[in-house]
Formats: sequence, C-alpha cells, structure tokens
Amino acid sequence: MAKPLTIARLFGRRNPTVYTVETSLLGKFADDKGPDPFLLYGVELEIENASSDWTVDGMQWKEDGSLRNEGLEFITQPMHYTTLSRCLSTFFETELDSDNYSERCSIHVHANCLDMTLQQVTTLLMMYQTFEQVLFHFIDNNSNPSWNRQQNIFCVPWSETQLTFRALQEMAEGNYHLLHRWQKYTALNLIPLGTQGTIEFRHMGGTNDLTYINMWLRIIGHLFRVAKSYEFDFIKSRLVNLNTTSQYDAILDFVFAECADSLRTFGYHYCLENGVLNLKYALAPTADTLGSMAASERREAARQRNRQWVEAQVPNGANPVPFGGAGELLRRAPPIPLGVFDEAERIVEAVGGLNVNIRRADDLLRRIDERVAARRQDILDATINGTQAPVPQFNWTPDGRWIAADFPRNEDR
Amino acid sequence: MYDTYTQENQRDFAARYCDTFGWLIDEKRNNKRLVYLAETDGDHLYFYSQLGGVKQHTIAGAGVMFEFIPVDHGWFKADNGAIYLLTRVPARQWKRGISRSNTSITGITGNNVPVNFEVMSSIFNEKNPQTYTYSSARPIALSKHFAIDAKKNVFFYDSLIGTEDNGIITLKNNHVLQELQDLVRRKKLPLEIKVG
Repeated sequence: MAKPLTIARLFGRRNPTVYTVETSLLGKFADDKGPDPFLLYGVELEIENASSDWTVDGMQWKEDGSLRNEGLEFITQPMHYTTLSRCLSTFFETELDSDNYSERCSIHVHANCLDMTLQQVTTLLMMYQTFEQVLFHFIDNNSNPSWNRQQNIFCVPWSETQLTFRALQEMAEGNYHLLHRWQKYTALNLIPLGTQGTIEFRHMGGTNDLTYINMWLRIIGHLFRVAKSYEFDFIKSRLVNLNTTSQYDAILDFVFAECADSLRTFGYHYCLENGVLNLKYALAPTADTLGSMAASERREAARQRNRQWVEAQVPNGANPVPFGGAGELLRRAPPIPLGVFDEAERIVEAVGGLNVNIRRADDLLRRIDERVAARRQDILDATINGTQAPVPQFNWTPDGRWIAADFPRNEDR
Repeated sequence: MYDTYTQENQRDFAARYCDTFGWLIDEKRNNKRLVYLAETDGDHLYFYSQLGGVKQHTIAGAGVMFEFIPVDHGWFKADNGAIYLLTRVPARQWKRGISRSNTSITGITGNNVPVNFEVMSSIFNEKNPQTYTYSSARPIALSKHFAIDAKKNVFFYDSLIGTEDNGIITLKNNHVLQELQDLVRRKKLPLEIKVG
C-alpha cells in the first residue's frame, strides 16, 4: 500500500527536532496534553522594552525590525502543547505590563502540518475559512480595543480578500506555485507550509495573558484535531448545511469542545453565517468569475479586431472561413496541395511558424484533415472535368519555415 | 484606528497615511467624511475632502482627528450608478489608510478601477448611504455579497451564480439559494428565486 502523501513528502521536508523536557519536570502541566497531543507548535512573542535575558529553555530571541523601543521576538522551538504551556508559563514569570505591548506587537503561532496529508490540511483550512470571523471576535474581545486586529494591515482576514482555502485544493491538483503567490500578511499565512511545513496564525496581538494565549493554542489544536479525525467531505457537508442557530451552537461544540464557550461572543451567529457564505464562495466554481468573463470578453474583442483586419485583406468573393488557427491558415492560403501536410511534424512546424498556440495542434490537424479531404475531392472533380486545380504559393521564412504567401506575419499585424 | 497629526508623530504620520484615504472626524457636524491625505510639510498636514475637493490643511497639534479603517469586502454602489467590488489586498506595505497597495476595486464588468479620489468619493459620501435595495436600475448591488450587472447576470462577489429577468433570479445551482432567500426575506425585496 502506498504511503499517504504528507506535506513532508510533498515539500521534501524532514520533521523538526522536537524540544522535550523530562516528564518529572512538567509538573502540573503533565496531565494536559492539549486537544491534539501530536501537534507541534512554535510561538513567536513580539515584545517591546524587552531584554534577551528573559529567554527561557526551549526559546530563542532575535531582533525584529517591525518593533520599536528595544523590541525583541522570542521564538519557541517546536514542541507539544504540554511542554509549550510550561515554557510559556516560565517565560511569563517575568513581569510584563502595558509598556511592553503596542499595536506593533503580535503573537504568531506556527502549527506543524508536516505529518498531515494535503487533504487534511485542506479540511483544516476549510474549517478556518468558516470560523475565521468567530476567531477574530475571540481575539478582538480579549485584546486592547484600539488594536482592532481585523483592521490591522499585518493580519488581513481571508474574508476581506479574495484568497480562499481553494488555493490548497488547486495545489492538490499540482499547482504548487500557488503558494508562492500567497500573501504573508494574511491572518492565516500559508507561505510557511512550503518552507517549514507549518501554517502561521497571525491573529493575536501582543499580550502577557497566559490564560488567553493558552486558550488560543487550544482553539488551534482543536482545528487540527478535527481535521485529522474526519474526512473532508464529512466536514464540508456539515459546514455548508449550517443555517440555524442550534446548528451554529452544535458545530462550535463539535469542533472546539471545551473552548466553544469562549468563542460564543456577541454576534457569533452572524459571524458564522458570514463564514458559511465565505465558505460557499470558496467552494463556488472558479470558471465564471468577473475576471475570467472580462478576460473572455477581451479575447472576443481581440478576435473581432483580427477578424476585421483579415476581412479587410481578403479579396471580394473569397470564401470566409472561421478565424484563428488552422481556419486562418486555410482561409489565407490558396488550396493546399496534397502531400504538403502529410506529416504531423511538418504540421506542427507550420503551426509554430505561424505563431499559433501549439496546443491547438489537434484542432489544427482535424481541420487540416477536413481541408485535405476537400482538396482531394477538388482534384478528383478537376480530373473528371478535365481542368486543373490551382497550385498554392508558399514562401520560406528567414528561419526556415514556410508560410502561405499572403499570410500576415506578426510584424505585419 | 484613530490618529491625529502632532509635532511628535510627524514622520510616522507621513509614512503611514500620506497618499491614503481616511475619514476626518467632524465633531461639530457629528459625522465623518472621506479625505485624501496628500502631504505634510512639518507644521501642516494637507488633505483633500469632499467639500468641493479643495486642498485643506490642519496644523500639527490642532487635535483634528482622523479615522483609518480598511474597506469591507463586498459590493458598493457609487453615486453615479456604478457598482464596485472592493477587496483588501494583504500585500506588504506601510500605508495604514486606504491606498492603492492595500485595496483593490473591480467594476461590474471585471475591469480594474483605480483607487483615486473620484472613485472613492463617489462611493463614500454622505449623499450616498450604502443601503442596499432592489430597483430596475442596472447594475445594482443587492447586498455586499450579491449584485446584478447590466446584462442581468447575478454575481456572488465576483462569481457568476445565475441570471435575473423581470424580478426572477434563476440560479445555476442551489449553492447559495438559502442565503439569497434570506436576503430577499429580510430586506423584503420584490424578487423571486428559483434554481434553473
């Protein structure tokens, strides 16, 4: 049986070295393994008026250009919830106050996805898309009111952009470059998925409230727990069918368990209603969008212009044939002598010479076959009638290709 | 976010807000109006507002308050009858007001619309409250989520979901049927919805 395609295999990453401490040292933290005991966290604490001396075991510090007033970023090594709780508890024994935090400060939580399949991560992101506004309400209700994190330019909600979890679905279809186009300053940043195998929750503002931080870590843990435990289709069907207050309550309990009550902030029904709508937007087919329709209209307008140009070049009485690709080739060229197009390679070369999209070669071949068959009939008719079919003229291009004599070259257009 | 121009924050203020849009809090009239913050020259902050579009200024430390909030994602109507899809762009930049680098505006025909004073003030002005309704005018925004274009295509944000004809919306599928029905019921819109 084939190994499941995990994020680690997909991006060729190894699992990180996990920071652990002896169980005896965990003390009161040992019993609480968090919602997902296997989930590895990495937390970045941005603090101003900070000292590197505050660093504790399992943590490093570095300077951060986005901070001021001797701001530092304290970064925990990859560790499980139990160890992280202990690490943060030790760190926050240092007395910090409002002088250490400004709207510039944030707490970023990286959560490891290396052991997850692409579909599990997609499930996770689909849930995130639905609950995003609920999560932001939780964050804003517990932060300094003047720091409104939803309006912050460093953690823009997905719901305010046109970015959706669909990017992961498209990645599953092989479009890995999509991750490169992702924006770092989204509330849930997917860029580290390709570089470290993590996703980064950038929602939380700077705080020394350990209960609040731990609750946030648990909320994230629950998203991972559910994503790893249930199939994509099961979660999707539960989410898209949410439309009553009782269902909103039930889904919060189902996903966030003991943390659900913390998320039941004022107006959370409205947030979930919007979340479901955002999810449906993400699930909507991508073919018919304003952008694609506009592009399609632009293409049609260009075709019209080209058609008019070609029409202007054609002598009166010439047979109109569909514009574009082989149609144009055939319409511009006099009848094609048999044998000219009898080799597929030469056809493709001709297509290249005419600067037509090579992917249309199949269509070209079909049309040329039809044209050749018609030509064959013409020659047969001419033979029967004792007349001679006209011989077409071709020119050689400077790079050794041939084109119909009156076919417009790019530079002529 | 609220901010005011002072002697102390001149450099920060210029870096964050010049060449962006914000709202001037007008305490006398108990309202706020869109302004384009153009430049600073130390003691003065120059901006354009909807009051005739003339260049105005405030003095550092005068206590004039500005509010800087990003746009909401959704359809907005302009006072000239056009409708626009506004979206935030999470690109790296320092500007905190609404600017070209953090905001995208798309027209109902899919064209990119510049983030300039003309467009912004046609959307955000006192005489153009963003109250959504239904009328025979086309294009029309039914809500932040739904809009109908001149060709009677119905959009969910930028996604084509159906067509409208004489007050009957025919959806391609029942994906957002519930939400549209809720919208029609809540706003008492004279629309009938069916799935084609």
